[in-house]
Amino acid sequence: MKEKIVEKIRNRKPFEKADIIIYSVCLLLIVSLFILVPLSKNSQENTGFKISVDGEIAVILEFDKEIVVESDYSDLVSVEKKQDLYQVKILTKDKNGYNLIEFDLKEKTAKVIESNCSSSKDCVHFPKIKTSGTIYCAPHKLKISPLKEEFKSPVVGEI
Amino acid sequence: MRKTKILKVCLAGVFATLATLTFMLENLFPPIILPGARMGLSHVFILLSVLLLGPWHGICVLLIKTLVGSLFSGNLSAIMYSIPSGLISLAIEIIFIYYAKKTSLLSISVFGAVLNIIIQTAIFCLVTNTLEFLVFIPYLTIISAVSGLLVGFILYLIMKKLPEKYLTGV
Repeated sequence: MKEKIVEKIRNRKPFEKADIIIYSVCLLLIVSLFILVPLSKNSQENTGFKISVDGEIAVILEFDKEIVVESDYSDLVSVEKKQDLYQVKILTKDKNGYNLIEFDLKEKTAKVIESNCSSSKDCVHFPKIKTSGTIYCAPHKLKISPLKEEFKSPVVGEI
Repeated sequence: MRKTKILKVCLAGVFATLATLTFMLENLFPPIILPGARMGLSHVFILLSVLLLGPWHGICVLLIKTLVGSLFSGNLSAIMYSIPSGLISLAIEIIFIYYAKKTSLLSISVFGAVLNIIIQTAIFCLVTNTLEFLVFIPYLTIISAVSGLLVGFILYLIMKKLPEKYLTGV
């Protein structure tokens, strides 16, 4: 049984007839996903960013005001200001993990520049966010998003 | 008979180790274009164990790779969304390998990769309550289709170029 499978696979070419069906199904999936998932580009002016941990808001930064750290997180968050840059270091609840987030007040952008969340460090590789977009660090359940933009869940079929 | 059974388990262990190792090494490199996007080269070993050792060994290798891999990379929450998606797409790949006779390894691998990333991202968005990342799905799907093609091609080369005695001697 098994040896037959190896034999059969060895005899298959890199392109068989039924492949056309599979490739077209894949292509159809990709195209339909592009149509179904609306690309919400929020062009309105962004006033600031918020950092939330596990759904709770921890830090609010508005560009023209002082940074606000919620009282539950006052001993976990340390803020450093360098000219136009805010560097916010936020520890996890057990104080073993941290994320270092940089806000640029002039450019109005946010980015995670350092983290010890996992070996892949996906949050560090997120692109800079400006008026739309979110940075999410799955192991630390940390989410950075613009203040204004309230996300509307995508309506299927709406373009 | 008994001897080949033991040999199979040993080989499954070797494949699981190799798959975990590739997964970990891949994690060290920055993702391709989008966060979370990876080549998924460890899937070569999983599909290879399906082909050489049988479907159940392949599923075991997948489970070991996912569990140990996410344990070592420090991202335990990844288990939640990578096990269901991995199992579903591997099951479909196995069905194609065994029953769809007019399909090549390349297309099977591409289909599995596309299915895997769609399910995984969807579960990720639901579990972590970050629906905004649904926007990434189309782009991630394109990346995973390309990497699926690469995995399928590597697998095709292995099956074609390796001498037959190494493949059927198990």
